[in-house]
Order: sequence, then C-alpha cells, then structure tokens
Amino acid sequence: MFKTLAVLLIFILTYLGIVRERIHRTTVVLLGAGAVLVLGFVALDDAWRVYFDYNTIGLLAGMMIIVGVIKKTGLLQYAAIKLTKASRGNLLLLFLFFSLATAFFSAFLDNVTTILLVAPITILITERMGKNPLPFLISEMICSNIGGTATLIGDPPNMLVGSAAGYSFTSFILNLTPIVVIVLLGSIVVLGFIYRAHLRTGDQGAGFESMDERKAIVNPKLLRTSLIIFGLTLVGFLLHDTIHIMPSMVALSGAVLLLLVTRIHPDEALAEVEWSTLFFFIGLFVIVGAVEKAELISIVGRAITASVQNEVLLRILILWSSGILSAFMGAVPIVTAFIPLVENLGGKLSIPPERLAPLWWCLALGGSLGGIGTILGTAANMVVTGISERTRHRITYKSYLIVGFPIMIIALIISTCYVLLRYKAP
Amino acid sequence: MVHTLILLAIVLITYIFIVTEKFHRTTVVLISSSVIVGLRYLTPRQAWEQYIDYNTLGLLAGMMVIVAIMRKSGMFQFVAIKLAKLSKGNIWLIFRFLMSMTACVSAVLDNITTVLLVGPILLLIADGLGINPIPFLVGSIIAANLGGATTLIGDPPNMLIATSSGLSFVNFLANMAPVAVILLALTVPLLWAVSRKRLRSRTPKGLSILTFDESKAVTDWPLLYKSLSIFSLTVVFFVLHTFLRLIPSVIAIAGAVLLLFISGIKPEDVFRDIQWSSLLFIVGLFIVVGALDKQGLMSSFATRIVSLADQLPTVALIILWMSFITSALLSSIPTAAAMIPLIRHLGVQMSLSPQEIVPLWWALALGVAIGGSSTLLGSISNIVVAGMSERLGRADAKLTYWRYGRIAVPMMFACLAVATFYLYLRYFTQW
Repeated sequence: MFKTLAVLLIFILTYLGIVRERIHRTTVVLLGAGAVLVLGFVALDDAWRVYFDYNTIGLLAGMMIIVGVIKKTGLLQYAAIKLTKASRGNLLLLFLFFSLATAFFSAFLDNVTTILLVAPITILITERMGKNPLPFLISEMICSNIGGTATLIGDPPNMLVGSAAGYSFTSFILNLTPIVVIVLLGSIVVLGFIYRAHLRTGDQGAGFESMDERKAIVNPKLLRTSLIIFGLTLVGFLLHDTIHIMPSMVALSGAVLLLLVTRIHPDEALAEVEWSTLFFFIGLFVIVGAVEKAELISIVGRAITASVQNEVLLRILILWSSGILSAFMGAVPIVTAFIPLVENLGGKLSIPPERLAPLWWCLALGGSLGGIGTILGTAANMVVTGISERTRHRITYKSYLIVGFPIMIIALIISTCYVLLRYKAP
Repeated sequence: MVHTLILLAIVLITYIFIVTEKFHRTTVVLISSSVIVGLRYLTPRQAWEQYIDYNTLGLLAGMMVIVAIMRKSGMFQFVAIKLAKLSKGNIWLIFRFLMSMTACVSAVLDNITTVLLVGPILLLIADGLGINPIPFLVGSIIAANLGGATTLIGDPPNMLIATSSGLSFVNFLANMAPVAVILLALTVPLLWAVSRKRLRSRTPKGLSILTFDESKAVTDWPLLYKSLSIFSLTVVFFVLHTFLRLIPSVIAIAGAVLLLFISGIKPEDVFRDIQWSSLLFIVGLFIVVGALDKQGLMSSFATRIVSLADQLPTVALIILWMSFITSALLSSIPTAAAMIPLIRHLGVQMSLSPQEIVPLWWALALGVAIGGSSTLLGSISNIVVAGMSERLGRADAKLTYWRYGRIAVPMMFACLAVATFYLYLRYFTQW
C-alpha cells in the first residue's frame, strides 16, 4: 500500500515537473526514474527486461541515424525549395499538404519515421519565410497520430490490439479507416481555424522563387547511397511480418549498413540522434513501468469493467478511459494494460467473440486517438517536441495541451458516435 | 556443426576488420551483430535479456555523464596544471605518479570509472607538455587493469570469481596484491623505456602547461563543488553497495541523474559529450560474444583444453594461459564468466576440496587481468580509453589496435611469465 502511494506520488511529482518546464523534462523524468530505481520499486533487471521497450528505442535510434545522414546530403533543403515553389508560397496550401501527407505516410510507415522527415522540411520552409513553424508542427503531430490509427501497421496501439485480437490488415481498414478519414478532415478544419492568422500568405515566399533546388544537394553520391538504404529499410518495414524481423531490427540494420557503406565516423552519425528525447523515453518507461508494477492501471481498468454490465456503456467507458489515460501516460503502456481486461470480459461477462469486436475497436481508437491529447501521448509527439527545441519556437507541454487536448476530445466524441452507430447494441 | 563454422567465420571476419581498422570498429561490430541476429544465432530478445549486460552499460553511461559534467567546470584542467607544476615538468615523475594513482584508484573503484577520471587529466597533461599521449594512455590502461585485479571490488571478473568461489576481500588482497605490485613495478619502467622517444616534449618551454595559472582553469566553481560532491557520494555508495543492496549501475545512474538535476545543465549539452560509439561498440561486443557463448563454443573449447591435463599445477597453468589468450581476444568479463563453471566442474571431477582448487581461482584472476591488458579489446576500460584518444582528432595520438598491441603484447607476455612463476612458487612448491 505504501509502495503504491509512493509510486503514485513520484509519478505525479514527475508529471508536475514536466508540465512546469522549469527544468528540462528529460532531467525531470530521469530523476523520477532514478528515484524509482534507488527506492527499489522497480529492479533494474525488470526495468531492462520488461518495461524498457527496446523496439521503440531501437526504431527511433535507427531512423534518427538514417535521417541524420540524409540531412547531410541537402535532400531536405531540396524538398523544401521544391515544395515552396510548387505552392507559390501559399501557406494554407502548404499546411493542407503537410497535414495530409503526414497522415497518409503515417498510416503505412511508422509515425516517427514520417515525422523525422517531415518536421525538418517544415521548419526549413517556415523559417525561411519568417513564419512560426509551430502551427505546422502541431498539425503534423496530430495528423500523424490520426493517420496511424487507420491501419494495423500504422501505430503501436493498433499492432498490440491486432495481435491480441487476431485481426487482419483488412479488418482494420474496414473498421477504422472510415472513421479516421472523418476525424482527420474534422481536425484539419479545426486546426486551420485555430491557426488562421498564421496561415495568411504574405510576400515572404518571394525569395524562394529565385532559389535553385538543384544547388541544395551538396553531396549527390551520399544522397544516392543513403536513399537506397532508406528505401531498403522501408521495404523491410513493409515486409517485416513476412520475414519475421522486428521493425527496430530493420531500422538498426539499415542504420548500421549506412554507416558501413558511407564510412561516416559513428560518432558523427550518432551526434544526429536526439539523445535527450531517447533518454526521456527511457525514463518514462521506467516510471510508467513502476506504475504498471504497482498495478495502478489495471486497478482503474478493473474498476471500470467490473462496475458496468451494460455493453454499450462498457464500449464508451473503454474508449474514453483508454483515451484519456493514453493522453497522459502514453498509449503503449495503457493499451498493454487494457488488453487483458478486454480478454477477461469475454470470459467473465461471457460476451461472445463477435460482440467483443466493438470493444477491441474502442480500445484501438481510444489508445491511438488518445495519444493526441498531450506531448507525452505518443513517441511521435515527443520527437516533434524535441525537434522544436532546436528552433526559436519551442513546443511546451501547456502550449500543446490547449490545442491537442480539445482536438482529442472532438476525436473521441466522433469515435463514440461512430461506434454507437456502426456496431448495433445487443 | 555448419552453424558453428559460420559463426566462427563471422567472428573471425569481424576480428580482422577490427584489427585492420579500415572501418570504424563500432561499425564493424554492429554489422556483425545484425548479421548474427538476422541469421538467428540470437534472437533480439535473447541478446537483450541475456547477453547485453545492462549493469556494465548503466555504470558506464552513468559515470560518463558525471565525468562530462565535471569536465565542464574545468576541474580536470586544474588538476592537470597543478600536477604538472608540482612535478616541475619532469615527465618521468608525472608518468610514475599517474600510473600509481591509476592503479590505486582502480583497486578501490571499477576500471571504467578510473579511466574516465584519469583519462582526461593525463590527456591534458600530455597536451600541455607537448608530448604524445599514447604512452600515458597505454600505461593507464595497464595500470587500471592490474590495479583493479588486486581487490575483490576492483574489477568485474574478480567480483564474478568472488561470488562463485566464496573467497573474501582479504583473500584477494593477500593473494593478488603482491603479484600485481610486482607486475606494475615491472611494466611501468618497461613502458617508459620503450616509449621514451614519444615522450620528448615538442613545445618550447615558455608555451607549456607550466606557465598556466591553475586558478584560472576552473571556469565554474559552483559546478565544481556540485559535481565533486555528487561524485564522492557516488564513490561512497559504490564502496558500501553490498550493505545498501544497490547494484553499482543503479548508483551510477542515480548519481548522474542527481547531478544533471542540481547542476541545471541542459541534458542535450551533456549527451553530446558522451562516447556513444564506445557504448555501442560494447553492446555489439556483447552480442557477438553472446552468440559464441550460446553455441557453447567457449566452454566446449575450454573443456577440451583443460581435459588434457591431469595434475593440479598443470591445470592451473593451463587455466592461466588460456584465460590470458581468451581475454586478450574476446575481453575479460565473458572469459571469466565462461571459465568459472569450468573450474567448479573440474573440482568435482578431480574430487578436490574447495580449499584445494583455490589456486585455480587465482590463476583465472591473473590470466584475465593480464590478458585483458594485452589488447584493445581485452576489457571495457580499454575501449573507453581508445574512444577518448579518438576524440582528440589527432592521427598521431589515436590509440589503434596495432599501436596498443605492439606496446602491450610483449609486455604482457613478460607479465604472464612472472605470473606463471608466482603461481608455481607460491602454490605448488613445498617450502
């Protein structure tokens, strides 16, 4: 009991520290993780084997290295100039393009890879135009989460639900893609409205017209090799289920291959990795691991599932509780904790498997869309926040919350309607 | 059988590429690890859960963070200038002092912490005096390994041996310290003799470190106090860790995080100074050696060799020499881990009492320490020092596999001979 309270206290204090931003959030999270380890709430052994998600870290590190090398070639500058020219500096057009492209690629690639490529291009374009990149970055964060919800391979919560419930790629498309399209369009409209003042086109784009995108490529040879390896890595992602290699291993192998072929000094490539974001994750894994170990999440979940007998109410509760918890603690641990609860429902309430399906979709929607709520919701959010720290405009916990949280609420409301209309109550 | 051969071929190729240094060793070892995982000699999960030693990595990362923050205060410059001035620029004096200091620190702390602490100081001194740092680096590696061998807590192989054999702290000190002192007394002058030419100063006297003002070296006194107090706290916890029931890696991580917190330095600024390539090299090494271990290659090889002998003195010598060779090639911790069960098994097989096999434990500890000093891959602290030398960005100061081996291998063979005599005279001769 004392232990549970102490863990809860550490979690809350860490959270307050992250929200206040007086001290860098990585330091805060690592301090919390250090406290949890020293006090023995989680053994380092457990933290390493159970809670430390080497898949996420490996994927992030691998893609950061690959994208870091690509950055050295000037490809991103090339894309930035090309895009600005094509849009004639029209900010609204660029905003729509970036939001939709991020959502589309997030559905088929993992969100972090998409963000790692899109966010730097966005920053290049907006900074050259003397505009604030934050509206674009925040919209990309939100759209990557929404886009990722559309498919089985789009984001980690879906993969977890898919493997627990045994659903196929097609059934995800049939059940989730329609709602995702609605949520996506709704969110883009809302975001466009919120940021309308930022999206007015001035004459700042003028300088771009004279720039030659071909001159942006500083190292064509490096570009060719790194693009080939990047392409191979993407193929590996798409095939990872068939060849039985985890995405993290694909990303890391790609990164190492790139190091070998280009002969870049490892330290030079590793300098491009956002270590502080990675360590933020590591710290968060440990703290959330302690919360998990104290069974706090399952206590909440069990309280919800035990108190309700009505299946319709149960769906709504699963959707909203997994959504809100995911927003604050990260989607992956929440969905992981909820999966056994939904599985148990099949046995305890003797809900037949076909009526269990709406519950699974509720969990997938809650976990994936709930991740929109705060910068801690998903890996992609934290990566964008990390990237934004290199610009003059930093995304903070609060500045994101006032946009992201309402959009999450809207997304959850739309999802509730969808679930109620589409899956008939028993 | 085919798999064993393929695996051996992978390891061999990896080794050749590491030694020739055409590609960076981290790149090489990571490529082999992905090949090993890709061919399923290890699953990612096995690699992660069994073979990547998070204790070593946590300790290393934690201490690297503490030292990186410490460095920002200018403390290492201060110590370097002070030492240079106290010795009045006498390089031989500084050399002897630094080597004995390294050995003493290493006896109390683990080797990694020792070299992280001593490394920057001796690089600064060498730079300030205008001499090539390589002899200093080689010396500090050897001193750290041999110094660490003197006590139970000095290095990881000894800790492994202690937990399996039940030998005490005093046992270690009484049996290992005399021979380690002899070996150090042998290597320090030898090293000086072979590297004298490199140690000739190329900087005119007026420009050297002796003219610097040490009080100006410290740029941030509050940071210095903070980092020194956290460092000392960490060391105290290290020494007391068995009482406190905390593992050293947790202590190092907690110290690092606490220092990060109270110094208020942006994490990014600290992470930039960490030797990531060394950390990843070590991860790769764990995976490659782990695959060998999983195929049972190390233990089957060791069993076959040891079964050649039937008398205790011969067995002891074989253990000494074999652990020397394997540590030199595949680093000391996995060697110790593979040899320990073998020695216990031998005791049962030859029906010897635990008392009678004690000399075998000393043979292992000595072999691992000497072997671990003889190549750059011999122990983890060696890799860390090599990483430091790379960061100087000077081709003539880079500690490559060859440069290190050329100096260290002959010297370590001499040490091995001394250790052989020591073992024979002390444990197998009736006085």
